[in-house]
Amino acid sequence: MNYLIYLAFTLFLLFLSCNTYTQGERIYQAQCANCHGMEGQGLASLYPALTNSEIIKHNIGDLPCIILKGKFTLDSAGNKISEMPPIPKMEDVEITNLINYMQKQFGVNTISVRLDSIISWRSRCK
Amino acid sequence: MHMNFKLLLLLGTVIHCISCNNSAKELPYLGLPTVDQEKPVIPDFAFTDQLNRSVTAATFKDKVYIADFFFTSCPTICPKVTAQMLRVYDAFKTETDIAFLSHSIDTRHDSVPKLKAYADKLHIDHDRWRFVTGKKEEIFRISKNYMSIVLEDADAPGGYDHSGYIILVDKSKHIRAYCNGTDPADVDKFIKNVAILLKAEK
Repeated sequence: MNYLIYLAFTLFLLFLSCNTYTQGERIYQAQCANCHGMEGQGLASLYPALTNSEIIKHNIGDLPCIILKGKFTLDSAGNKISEMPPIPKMEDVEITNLINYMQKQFGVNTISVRLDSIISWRSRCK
Repeated sequence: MHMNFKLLLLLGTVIHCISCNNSAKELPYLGLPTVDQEKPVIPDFAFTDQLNRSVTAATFKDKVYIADFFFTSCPTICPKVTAQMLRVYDAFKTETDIAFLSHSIDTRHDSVPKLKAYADKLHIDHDRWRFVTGKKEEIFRISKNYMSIVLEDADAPGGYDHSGYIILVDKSKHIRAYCNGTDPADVDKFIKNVAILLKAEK
């Protein structure tokens, strides 16, 4: 009988500590929230809002390269102008967790992205 | 016991009323006084804004203004401070006696077109909010008059270390309030102080 109580208690503790999005949330807060905001609200046109983002809604496959390479525009002289700094040192698993966290928070699609998709998407980065 | 509680309540209310009245009083004069200046003033300056116009102390004649230090590629505190500056800007949108002055501390990279692009993306009025660049030494030097710290530091993210203060300057160029631009609650209090100063300087 005692054994059963211990088992139930252990399972309960496991359940409590089990938050799927822990790493994604941590990375989001450390790397993204400064500009895009804790709630993904962005700032005017300077930092795009992630809530209702077309990329997060419809083109999730573009995200790994944006995260790893940053975003640039070209000025009239052809110089690269940085719009968003890159976060180059990210493992595939970290990117997967970050994107799944962003999808959960700001997206419409609740189907999780898998590690193998991330690996194939990031191979397209220029 | 019951009596004590009533007394306590009364005392609390009295203290609350006194502190309310205090907040409506005149704002203090801030900065370090010197032998010549009992109430420190911001010295005259000459910078260039996002539309390539000259910005001097005279630009803010008869205006209360709000100042900060930033750079456009800053990855750390600036986005938060700019978000709060925009909040203060929006809070006084209909007020004519107020202006905003953001100094870029990355004078090497933040050219006039870069500042223009930055300002455009914030959808602000270029006459009300000036984003300025100038000689690096002059911007670094004047930051001290605004009680702000600006340092070049290769180890800091983006290459600069600086405090994220937002500073309120009155029509006579005295500093009258400041807040930590990364702390929204502190900025709430600051907005109240700006309203107090605007009323006093009408």
